[in-house]
Amino acid sequence: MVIISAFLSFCVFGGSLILSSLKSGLNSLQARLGADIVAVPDEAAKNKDLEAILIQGKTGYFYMDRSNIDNIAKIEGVEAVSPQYFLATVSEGCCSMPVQVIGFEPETDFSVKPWIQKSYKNNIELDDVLVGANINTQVGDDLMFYGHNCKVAARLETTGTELDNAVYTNADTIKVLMAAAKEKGIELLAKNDPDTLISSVLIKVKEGHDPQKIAGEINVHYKNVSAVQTQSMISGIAKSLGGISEVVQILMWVVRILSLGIMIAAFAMITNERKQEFAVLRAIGATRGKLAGIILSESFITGLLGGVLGVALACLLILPFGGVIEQKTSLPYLLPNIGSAALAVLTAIATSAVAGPVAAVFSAVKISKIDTSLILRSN
Amino acid sequence: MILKAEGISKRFLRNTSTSNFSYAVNKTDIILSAGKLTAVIGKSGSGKSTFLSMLAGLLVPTEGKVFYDDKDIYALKDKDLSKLRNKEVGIIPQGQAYLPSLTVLENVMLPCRMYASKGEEEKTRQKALELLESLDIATLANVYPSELSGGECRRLSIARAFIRETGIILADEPTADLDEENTEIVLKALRSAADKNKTVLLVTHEKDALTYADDIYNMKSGTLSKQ
Repeated sequence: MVIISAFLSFCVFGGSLILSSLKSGLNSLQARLGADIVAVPDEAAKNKDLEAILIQGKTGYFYMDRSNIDNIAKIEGVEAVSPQYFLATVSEGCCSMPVQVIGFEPETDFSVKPWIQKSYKNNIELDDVLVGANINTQVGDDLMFYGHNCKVAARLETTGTELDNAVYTNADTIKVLMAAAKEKGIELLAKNDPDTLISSVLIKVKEGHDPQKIAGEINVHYKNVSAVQTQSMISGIAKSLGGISEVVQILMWVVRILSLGIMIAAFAMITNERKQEFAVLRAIGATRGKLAGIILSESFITGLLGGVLGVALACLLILPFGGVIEQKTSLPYLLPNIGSAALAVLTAIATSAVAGPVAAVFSAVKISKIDTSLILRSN
Repeated sequence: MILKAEGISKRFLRNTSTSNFSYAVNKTDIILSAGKLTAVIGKSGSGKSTFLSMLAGLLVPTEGKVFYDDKDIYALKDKDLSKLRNKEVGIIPQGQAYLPSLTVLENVMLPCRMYASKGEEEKTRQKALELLESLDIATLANVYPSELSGGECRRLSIARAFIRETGIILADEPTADLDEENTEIVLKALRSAADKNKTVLLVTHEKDALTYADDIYNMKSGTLSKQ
């Protein structure tokens, strides 16, 4: 019975943990973006990997003139704008590792800074870089990009997205890196001065204004610039998450119903085997209610033990495989915070502890009506 | 304590050639007095155990009443009747009746633990050990009942029935399947209880038991007659 309860609790907790981790990942992604609209060069908008580059830290780069920042800032309804710079490093000798380097302007940024400040509160100096949680390096280490050395100033907290594999720095540093890349022959930078280039403009819309309308205005009035609503980028991920969530929910219900059925049958069998014990108890003074109480309290303890065991097993078997789940589902995966995790633990244990007595009700009622004299005579 | 049954019957649903019902016990009266060992003998299926169960408060008669002193036990609520059974009746069931997950000592102490007051545990333990000693199974106090022989199991049941020092002892075939030595131990224990002013009813089909009895009744087809 403990094993069945443990299985139930394992499935309930494991399922909730995976679902809430995927939801946390999506929330983290939304919070991390912070912008309502992203303006990118036209040719970048046609790139099928745009979404992955912008929100999942996939390596890639594109550039447009930085004059677009001021133009977009003038549009009615735009509250704030901030440029970002993308530079993909390579796996050759000039770079320590192939990563996406993302540059931002600390003075105007409203997207990366709030997240970075959780891990690093100092100013980002020239040649300082902040590395995502999955980058295998230590604070104080040197990283070389296109032959230029940068110092790791901080490691950022996990987002559960591919952005954990990216490197962040300020605009001054990335311009130096872009210049270094230009020297190494990166084609896209060859004809331009890195000081005049940006990759994208993050746009925050004032309350009461329609992001769709502003995006439409940018697309109509500014040549070579495309505006994409971040909501539409995330909706693809949310849709996949919705599908997975539905399947997991259905499976969890199937497990609940099956476990309950098995527990009902198992309790009925166990109680039948123990009916002579209950007859003895009745003969020495146990009330019918007491007999039912014994069954219910035993089933509660069994469920509780199974619940704790199942949660412990789920922690052991599911927690270490977050990365695999993220990889296999291609969805952002971030373990929920302590509060949500504690709630999931309590829910799973409570489900299992309550399932025990629920499954045992039939047996408890049956045993409370036993014909003591018949059982004592037939033993 | 006086145990009195007035016109008790137990009717079961069973198709016979003459009726849809059959009577295991039919309109039976008996008065059992303190200090006496009363034996009810009869063949298997004659209704002896059904009769004992009704007297024990375990089986509601189809008709008639059972009194402990002047208390109509079947007029009581289950809670009160259960408590009364615990306080006033020691039952020695047929065969091997125990809780396998408890040791012999714990099985014996069980009736006291069921309605225990604070601070009684040690006293109960001492009493249980004394009873096991008197029944010659004190060395088995800490073993589990599954390791006991049939005679030892029956002695466990007797110790459990005696632990509460109830006024009534009801024994259902306590010597069935026992060898001569164990039969003698069991019957002597019941006789000793009667000598200590308990009301003892012994239901048996073994004639050897009769030498220990003060009163003997014969049960035949659900009808009781005094010998």
